[in-house]
Amino acid sequence: MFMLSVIGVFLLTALLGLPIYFSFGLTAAYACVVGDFPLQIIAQRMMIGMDSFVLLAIPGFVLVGDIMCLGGISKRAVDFSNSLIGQFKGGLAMVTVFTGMIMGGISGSAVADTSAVASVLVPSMEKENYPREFSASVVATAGPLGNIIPPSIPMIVYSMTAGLSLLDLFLSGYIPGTMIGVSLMIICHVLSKRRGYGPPVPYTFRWRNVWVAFRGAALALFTPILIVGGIVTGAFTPTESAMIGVFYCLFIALFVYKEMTWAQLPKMLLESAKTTAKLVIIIASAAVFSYISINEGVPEMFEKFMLSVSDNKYVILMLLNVILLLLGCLIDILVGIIIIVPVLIPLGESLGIDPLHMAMIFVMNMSIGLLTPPVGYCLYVSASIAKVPMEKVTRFSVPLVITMIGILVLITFFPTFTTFVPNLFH
Amino acid sequence: AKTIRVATVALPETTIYQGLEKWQKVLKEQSKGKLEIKILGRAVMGGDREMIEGCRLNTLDAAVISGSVLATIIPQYFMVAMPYFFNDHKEANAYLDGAPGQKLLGMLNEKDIVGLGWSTWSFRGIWNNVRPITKPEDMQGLKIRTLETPMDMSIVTYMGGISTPMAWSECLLGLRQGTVDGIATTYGLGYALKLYELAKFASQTKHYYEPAPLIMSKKLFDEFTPEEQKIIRKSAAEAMQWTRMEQMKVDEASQKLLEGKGTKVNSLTPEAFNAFREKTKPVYEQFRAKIGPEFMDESTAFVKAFREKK
Amino acid sequence: MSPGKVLDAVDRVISFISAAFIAVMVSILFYAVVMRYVLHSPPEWSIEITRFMFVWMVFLAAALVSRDDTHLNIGLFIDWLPARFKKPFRVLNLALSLLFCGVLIYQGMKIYPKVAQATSPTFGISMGWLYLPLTVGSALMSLFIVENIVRLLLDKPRQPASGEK
Ligand code: NA
Ligand code: NA
Repeated sequence: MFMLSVIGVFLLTALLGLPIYFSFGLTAAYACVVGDFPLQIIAQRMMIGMDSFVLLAIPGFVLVGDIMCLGGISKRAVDFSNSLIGQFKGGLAMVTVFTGMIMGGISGSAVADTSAVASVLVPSMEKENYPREFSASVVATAGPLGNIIPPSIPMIVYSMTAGLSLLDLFLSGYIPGTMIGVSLMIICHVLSKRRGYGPPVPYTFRWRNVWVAFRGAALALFTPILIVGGIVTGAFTPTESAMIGVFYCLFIALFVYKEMTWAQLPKMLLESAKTTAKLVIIIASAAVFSYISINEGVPEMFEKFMLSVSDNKYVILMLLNVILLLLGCLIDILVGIIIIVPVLIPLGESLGIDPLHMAMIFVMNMSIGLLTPPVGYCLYVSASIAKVPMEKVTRFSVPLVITMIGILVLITFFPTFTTFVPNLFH
Repeated sequence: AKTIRVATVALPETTIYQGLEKWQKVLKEQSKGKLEIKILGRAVMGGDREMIEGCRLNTLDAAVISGSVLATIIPQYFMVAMPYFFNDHKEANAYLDGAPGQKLLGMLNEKDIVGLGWSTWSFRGIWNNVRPITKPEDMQGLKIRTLETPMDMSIVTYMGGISTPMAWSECLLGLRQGTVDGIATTYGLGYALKLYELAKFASQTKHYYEPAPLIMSKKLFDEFTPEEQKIIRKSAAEAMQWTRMEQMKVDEASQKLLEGKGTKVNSLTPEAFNAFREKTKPVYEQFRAKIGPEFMDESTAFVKAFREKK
Repeated sequence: MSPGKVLDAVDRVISFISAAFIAVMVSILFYAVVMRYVLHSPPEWSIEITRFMFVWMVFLAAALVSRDDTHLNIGLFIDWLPARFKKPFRVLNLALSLLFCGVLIYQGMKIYPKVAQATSPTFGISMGWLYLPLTVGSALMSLFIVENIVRLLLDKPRQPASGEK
């Protein structure tokens, strides 16, 4: 009863439009007063929630995303994708998804990926006869890819919360990310063909073009290899990999592509400070909420409830998918990780679900949530860059979201898609 | 029934966690069901520093923590983690149950916490992937993960290795991927953490002993009736002592367990043990002023007397 | 100097510190990798110093985010409101935010004396330095929220500084 009223206060304040940070904070204050906890908990738990070395990777990966965007790295990723798959019907839409996969391998932030891809591709797609709402919805799908293909900020926060190896989490994203990317490309191709999007005369494929584009993009394409490869070979830790990524991308942008100048750096640093603050302050206040939920025994209650529905692993996982998809519509992925993951851990343990599998199911569900209103930051970002109303983009994104849910079901039933790559490195 | 929430970073497989379960049982019996324990394991309440702070601020009821971390509020606690201070568990137990150990627990009162008893993480060893450590020369050139504290770093440096501070969240991965060659942690814990999957060699260097006091918020403790306080103290001391005895057995058993998993285990010869003890002596000088010469001398005298009595 | 100018100056100082902290943190961790991987002598201070800077950076930059009024929220409901209700709603939201800042300032000061007794693992400096940004950041945040309330009531939106979106 107490927990229900706490959740009620949160929903009320959040739907009023209060920033999530304050909404969690006030909810925690309410819980302390009513539940007879000392209010000091708020101050102390907030500090504990944010004082984690792993979180230091966030400003790093945010910076990498910004540098990619300003420094000409995203443009080259587009050129390279285009030279490879531009010749198909719906080519540019497919290029968008493919670019999202490449950028996803460089940056850790879904929203940064979305805006990077959107600013380059929405104008070009418009020239080639794609409706803007469609372009915006395709661009928005780059976000979830950024979360699933490593590096990924949500995975960082997940590893912190669940105590999992970040490298394993990172590696587990490759197959699911590729599955989503490929199936989205197919769906873009089919939709464009049926609806007649795209240029009347398609490009012709030439190996020469691929080679030229590859040479231009090679240094950028090396970034994901550097970041993940450095962790795999033990040269640096995941947190440090973000900093290595920053220096590497900065070096390319300043001295090789020369599309960025030193003068742009201060503003970029400030923006990354603000973006990091926005994310981390929410993580901190969600940690207070999580503390109260753990103290009230919510994880055990949830486990009991789920096990009372069924004791079949797959029935429970599918039920979990439905619950998480609904939650994903309402809350942001990072917040979800802080408050929901501790609730899932006992359930996953008693069902014998591989923690990596559970993590992937969770991240995929919540990432799909980035494409659904009312809290769909990727949808929101791409709609505002494409200058189209969000409602219309939502309509166009329905087939894409359904495709992703299809992949989610596959991932749910076949854990090996998730665990195969991490096992290779054990 | 009143419920005491006690937190730890320990996993359910560890002796410390089982010691808390023991406390749970004993307290319930002795209080005839009036007092209960809820265990919050796996660091859900944060790390050692955060749990200490939580108990001091009365946002957490109780916790089992690493003794050396208490040195951040009471410098005398550096003493228990001095290098090669104890030869074995027997000495450590005598010290903790004797006057110095009780004095240390008593010092907690000024910092708004109550010390209820000593359990242990056991002696530290070094787990690495390069070679067994049998003498100081074997440490040469090995990157060993340490805490970022000057004491932990000094010990490994004087032992001859390259002390490499790394956050705990990153160090297991670091060991697996070769970012560091080895990590320093305890035997029983090493088995529970499945370090045998990550490290080829486990060397019982026993370079320091890490006690794990059970602490409680003083504000909370004062709210109990004197009768309840007595029961809490008694049951806690009993359970924590059980933990230390159990850990001794686990340490003995772990050699076989680990070798079954393919990790090569070695302990030091008395000569090598003494060589390391000599090499790390400067740490005592380094921390003498901080710990306070008086308490340091009292502690070393206590251990010396115990050794001679034998 | 007008209050607006003073706030702009505060804004500039915090912006400088936040941006500089990010640059320094990234550089220190990069340096730590080089020292460990290439030179086999890792610095002992990198973890602690970056942790402290991170917490300061988050609270200072969060105050700036409050001034920009761009904290993440669910805007759906407020977007649908008829125009005449929007302003009172915004003021209500800001006032509630201010309330929480008040809680943090008060609680932050309350726990300060106790947490400040503890020392940090590496440098042995007071852990108060880790907790201070909670109070300082929330105070700055309140300052900017009050500014936003006043501007909203007076219908005087802030002129975006040059180069700002
Ligand atoms: Na990514
Ligand atoms: Na959503």
